[in-house]
Formats: sequence, structure tokens, C-alpha cells
Amino acid sequence: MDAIETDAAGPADEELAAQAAREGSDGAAFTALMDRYRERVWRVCWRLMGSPHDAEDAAQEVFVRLFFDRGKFAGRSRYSTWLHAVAIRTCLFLRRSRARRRRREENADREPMEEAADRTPAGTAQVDATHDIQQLLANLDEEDRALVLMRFGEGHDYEELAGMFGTTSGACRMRISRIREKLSSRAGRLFGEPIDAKG
Amino acid sequence: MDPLETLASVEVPPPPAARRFDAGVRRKLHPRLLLSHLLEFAFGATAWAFFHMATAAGAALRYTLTGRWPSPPPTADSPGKQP
Repeated sequence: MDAIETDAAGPADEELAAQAAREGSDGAAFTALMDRYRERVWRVCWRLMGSPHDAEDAAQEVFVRLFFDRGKFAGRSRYSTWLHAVAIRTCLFLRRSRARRRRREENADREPMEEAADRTPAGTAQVDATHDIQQLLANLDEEDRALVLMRFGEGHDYEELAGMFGTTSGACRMRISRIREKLSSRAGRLFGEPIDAKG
Repeated sequence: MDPLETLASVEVPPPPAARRFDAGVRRKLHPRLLLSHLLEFAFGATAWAFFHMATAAGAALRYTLTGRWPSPPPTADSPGKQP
């Protein structure tokens, strides 16, 4: 996933980031970073935002924030991890602000999670299971949902997640385990027997 | 199968065309960049103007209290400096 960083054809991400920080405007280094990370930022935004339109809007917002924060990369983690963290924070901010706006605009009653889970048929096809999981995740805390999507959707390991969420890998592991328990208690039939937390 | 593992099978659509995407980024970035430059200028100009107004106000207060204008700094044309 991070093959670009070791690509001998171009400067390292950290070097480009330092150049971008020195640029007064959106110059060559910033454009090169955009070219490198467009797809990865898009993937994160699509996972977290859930629709192509919102994902595109969020991904563009990520690069705008990246531009204004380009001098803040301190090199404590890999550049890709830092950028993922910016993308996740931006998506969470947008989702929260949109949810607040939606709550203000429409006062529609939401279906209680337990009822939805009770109606979930046992032994459904994988597509249905994915759909149900997405619905279950929608009822989680935003940050928990992002953590699950980055772990299981994008396949990041706990060390990377720790860098993205500003915590330790042990805390991430524990949090995933708690989320799994929570989901299992809400939709036991979907999860079946309790599953040990993945390494 | 672990239900959470099914999330990996969800196919992510390809990103939008680079040209359109980058144009969108710049459409959002440039007005904010302009605004930030204007704010930076405005705050800088305000601080400069405030400093100069404060100097003038201080001099007026001093004149009110003492009846004398503060003497201007000597220049090359000042009579006292001439040989």
C-alpha cells in the first residue's frame, strides 16, 4: 500500500511535504502529493462518507485542509499515516456537522436499532450481511465506525490505526473488541457465536 | 465468516477524474487562501494603524497635560545639528 514512499523515481513523501510547506501557494510539491494520494484519500472518504458525491466533497476538503496544515507535519509518524489521520478527522467533522444539520432540518423518527436487528434474517447471503453490517455501523459512534472501517474495510493493522487515531495499538485492539461485543449484542443472529478479537 | 470481514469485499468505486477533482480542490482552496491573505493583511494593517494612532493619541495627551508637544527626533536638517 505504501509502495510509492519507497519509489526510487521520485522524492520521498516527507521530502515533498517539506517542499510543500515552503511553497507559498499550491505549487509543484503540493500537486505531486495530491497526485500520489488522491486515490488513497478517495478510498478513505468513500468508506467513511458512504456516497460518491459526499466522498468527492470530503476528499477535496481533505486536500484543502492538507494545504493549510502542510507545515504541521512533524515527522513523528509516516506521512501516509498522518495524511490518513487528516482524512479521517475531516470526514468525521463533515459527518457530524451534516448529521446536526439533518437533525435540525427534519425531525424524522429513526428506527430503533434493536428492532432492525430483530428483523435480520439468519443465514443471509454475503451481500445482505454486508448491507446489515453497514446499517449496524451507522448506529455506532462516528469514531468507532471509522475505526472498524479502517481496520476491516481498508485492512490497516493496529500500529497504523494507532497513528491515525492518536492512540496506542493496544487501545485500538481493545476498542475493536468492545465494538464487536456491542455489535454482537445488538445483532446476535448476524454475528452468531461470539468471535475472538482478530490480531 | 466474521461479518466484519465482509466489509473488505465492498468494492470501492474508482476516484473521480484527476482533472475534475483537482479543479474542485482549487475551487475550494483559492477563495479560502485569498480570504486568509486578506485577513492576514487586515490584521497587520490594523496593528500598524493602531500603533501609529496610539503614538498620536499619547502625544495629544502629553500636550494636554504639559502644554508642550514632544520634541521631534533630531534630523540632519535640525538647526542644532548644524556646525
